[in-house]
Amino acid sequence: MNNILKRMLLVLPIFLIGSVGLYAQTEEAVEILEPKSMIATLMESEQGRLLLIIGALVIVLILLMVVLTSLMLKTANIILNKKAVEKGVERPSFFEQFKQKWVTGKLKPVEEQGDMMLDHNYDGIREMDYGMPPWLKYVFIGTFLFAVFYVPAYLIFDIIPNQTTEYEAQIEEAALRAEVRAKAGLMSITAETAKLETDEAVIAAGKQIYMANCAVCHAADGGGGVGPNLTDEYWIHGEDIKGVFTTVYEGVPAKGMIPWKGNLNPKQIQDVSNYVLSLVGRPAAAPKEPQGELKPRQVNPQGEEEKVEKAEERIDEAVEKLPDSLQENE
Amino acid sequence: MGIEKFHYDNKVVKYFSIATVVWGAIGMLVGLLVATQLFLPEANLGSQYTTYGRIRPLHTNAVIFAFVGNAIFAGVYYSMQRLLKTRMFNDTLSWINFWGWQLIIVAAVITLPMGFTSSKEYAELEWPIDIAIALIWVVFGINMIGTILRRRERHMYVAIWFYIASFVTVAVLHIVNSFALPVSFMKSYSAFAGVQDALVQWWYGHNAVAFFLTTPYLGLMYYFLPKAANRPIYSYKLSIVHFWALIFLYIWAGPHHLLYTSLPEWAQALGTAFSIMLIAPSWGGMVNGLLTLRGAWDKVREDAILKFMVVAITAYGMAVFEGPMLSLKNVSAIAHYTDWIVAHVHIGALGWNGFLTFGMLYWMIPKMWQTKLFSNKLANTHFWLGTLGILFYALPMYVSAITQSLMWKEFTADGLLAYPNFLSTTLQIIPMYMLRAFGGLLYLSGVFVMVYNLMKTAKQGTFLANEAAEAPALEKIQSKAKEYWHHVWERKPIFFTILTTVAILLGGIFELIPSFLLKNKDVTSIASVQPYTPLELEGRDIYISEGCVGCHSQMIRPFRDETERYGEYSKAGEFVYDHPFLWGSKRTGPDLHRIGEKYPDSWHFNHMYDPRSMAPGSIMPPYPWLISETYDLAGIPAKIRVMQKLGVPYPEGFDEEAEANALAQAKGIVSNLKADGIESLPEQKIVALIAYLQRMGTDIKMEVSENK
Repeated sequence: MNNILKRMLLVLPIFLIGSVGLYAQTEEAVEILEPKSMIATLMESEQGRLLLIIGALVIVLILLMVVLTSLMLKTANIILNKKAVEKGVERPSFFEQFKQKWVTGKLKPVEEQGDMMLDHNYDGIREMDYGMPPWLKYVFIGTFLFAVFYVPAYLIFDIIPNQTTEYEAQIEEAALRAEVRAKAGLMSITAETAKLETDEAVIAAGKQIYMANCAVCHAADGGGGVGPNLTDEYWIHGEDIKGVFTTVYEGVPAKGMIPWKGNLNPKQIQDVSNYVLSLVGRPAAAPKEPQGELKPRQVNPQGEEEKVEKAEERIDEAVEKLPDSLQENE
Repeated sequence: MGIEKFHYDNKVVKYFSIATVVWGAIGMLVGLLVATQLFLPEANLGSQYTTYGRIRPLHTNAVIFAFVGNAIFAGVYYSMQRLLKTRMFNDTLSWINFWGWQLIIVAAVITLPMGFTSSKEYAELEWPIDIAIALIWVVFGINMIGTILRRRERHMYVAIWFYIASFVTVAVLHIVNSFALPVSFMKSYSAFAGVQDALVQWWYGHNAVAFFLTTPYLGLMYYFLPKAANRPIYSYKLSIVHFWALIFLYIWAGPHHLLYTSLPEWAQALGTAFSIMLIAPSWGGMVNGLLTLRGAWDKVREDAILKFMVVAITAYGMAVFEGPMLSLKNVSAIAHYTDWIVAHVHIGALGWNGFLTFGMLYWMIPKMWQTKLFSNKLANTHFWLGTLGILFYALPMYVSAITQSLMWKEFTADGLLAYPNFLSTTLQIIPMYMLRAFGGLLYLSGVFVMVYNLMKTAKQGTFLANEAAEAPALEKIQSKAKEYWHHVWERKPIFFTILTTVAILLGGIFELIPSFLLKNKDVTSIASVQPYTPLELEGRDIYISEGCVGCHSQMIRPFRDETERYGEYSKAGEFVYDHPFLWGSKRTGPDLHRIGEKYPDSWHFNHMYDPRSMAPGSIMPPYPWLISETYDLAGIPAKIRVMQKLGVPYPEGFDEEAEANALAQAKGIVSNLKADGIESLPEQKIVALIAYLQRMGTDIKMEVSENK
């Protein structure tokens, strides 16, 4: 969720800078790949350091120029005003002029607005003869220019990518990342390499995944419903870890089993597959009738010890399910 | 020439005002009900007639056409008589306008909860009501034009320009978008299909906002604001520029509702470009309004009426800036389908339309009852309740929109969706839905304060049904040497109306016609796309009737997160037989375009009967009536015949086989369900719906897998 908050903050500038932010989403994505800050990356190379120094110099220069220009303007204003005062007319300040020319237009004080009044009178409503405020006019011209450039840039010159190009770029990028991950060995579990595990920790992790994703169709106790019963010894798509892993990973779209590879990572799929295998033989409240072929469970290589453990577990669970009153009697 | 004496008709204004308040309260109450259902589905009262999908359109229609519609009529009838110095053209027409409009609203209140809907947003009403709307609207138009022609004021004031543009454009929009072939008394199929239908619908939908919620209200603002503030309009020239620019540019912007969809990209690009160009013309109204208050700001501090108007204009200014920003495709990528759009329209509806209406009523009613407002204090209370209501409504919606959108788009380091389960993103924003409903409650309580205040006001005054007025009769114009060019137009109403019509038609012509011409070349190229089977068609009608489109889109955009979550992105050619299109505009639930064959039939059965059995915590309401009710098998052939007329290539004489065909398919589903332990009958509505759901988006699936 922290990530979300961070991204929410990122959205604000996207919103503000509008079309300039077109690529913000991809930039943000690249950042995730390379968490190093830009400056750190630059500091690594000779040229980069040089660039940074030049950049800093340029910033200082710009600041200096701003200060100088404002000083000059002030001086010019003083001189001009002096001249104006000499002529007996007070010249408006630079900012006042700027405001009148580019922002508000010449606004008369409210008391003097009578001069601006047109001879219109509609049920007592009068109208004044001010023009369109300059700032609004420039916004209008600006948006008009945007439109004039946007449409050809999009439709003719492909400067703004069309949606298919954008999509293909996203897919390509994802494929690259997948490759990087594969090289790093992060996604190495496949149906071939999936391991049968009976570790409590694995089963517990698998159970959590099962409850969140599988229980609605296969029932919380594995007895089946929309999907087949998982507690019996009948199998449709393979009874070993390889078969279950494949079924979960690829799904069986023809029968309504969703492929989970887009939702769960391979480790999670392996965990939940192991949990599914551990369900066999457990009691179910409303078992669905068997589907597929009978394939009795191979004898567990780990032998009797586990069987006993499992049996005890089952008894414990069964007891838990009893109504409270019966438990007390015991 | 002598002074003529005449009377203004206040009585019809009074009736429209009362209707505004009554329907407003009802519409907002329904809004509160649907808002509550989003975090408490049980608030549908367990009845199909009060379930979200059916009453959300009731809320939007009631607020737009009943509340705002009546307010427009009230304000127009009040201001037009005074601006033109004449009584309305014809009292009978005024009353036909009033009663006709109320009957239409009553018809909407009855038919929408019953599930009679065309599914087109803000145009849900079925064809007989559509015809009635057209007729009554024309009556209003005749009455208006007649009044203008009988005026005693030589020139038309800017408010009148906006009224004319609104009348002409709404008529054009409504008639074109309602083109449909009736199947039966309360059922029709849109004449357009798929992409074309989407384009027409959003050309309509966007401009309904423009010419029903915006331009008439700008007209009202131009009358009531200077009246209430007693200040002159800031700039006549600005009025001219922003009026013409606004009506000309607005009509082009519709496609911005369809960015990143299967709509051809040239139309999308135009939609964006024209939306951006709309900023200044839209702001023109705000600027002219706010600058009119120059010299009256001291009054704003005390006068509740002006406060309402200032917030209305500010809300308008914010909404018309936000709109163009949302039309940028990178912003739309985040905001579309989320609550952002809901927040955006409510800034407009609650802030601009609501507050301007309240200001207008507070000003107009004491005038007509020849008294003062009963309590300025209560009006101020209303103002603060309303303002807080808007804030509590909009802010949580922005938070929920951005939260959910980013959750949809987030990938884990493993390259998987971070929130593959759509529901987890919904559950995250439930608290925001609660806050939003609270905001709505505040706003509505303010309305009740107003109702009390206005009733007391009316009680303490005496109503003046016919207000005496006098004005010199219109003289023949002596040729004046110099008259401002636009001022000349203002005294030629017919010429003015024709120019307006040309301005608003251009955008429509340039966007709609090419897309129809391209129909055969571009769109129908996917060979594997076949018409719906009779049972699927029936199921689709159930989907339409239940208003599923209110929460579920059927348009997967070409983004990796969407194709990962839902499947291959939607192609234009897949919708050629979709009369009407059902792309939707909001994802309260997941997109359904590729839902077909994803889950077993029994999943859908269980899910429709009790969504929480298959998706724990789901906020979707249960649909038990789909199981207890049957569809009309015998009605299917007529539907096939209408579809054939609309160009859907069913083989000739297929209508005769339709029933048998539907029954056979239904039996297949019944036996699938039986295999999973569910008993059902082939004529249950649920069976038809499952047929449709399982078909959706599957035509192209095969082709894609074959290509691989």
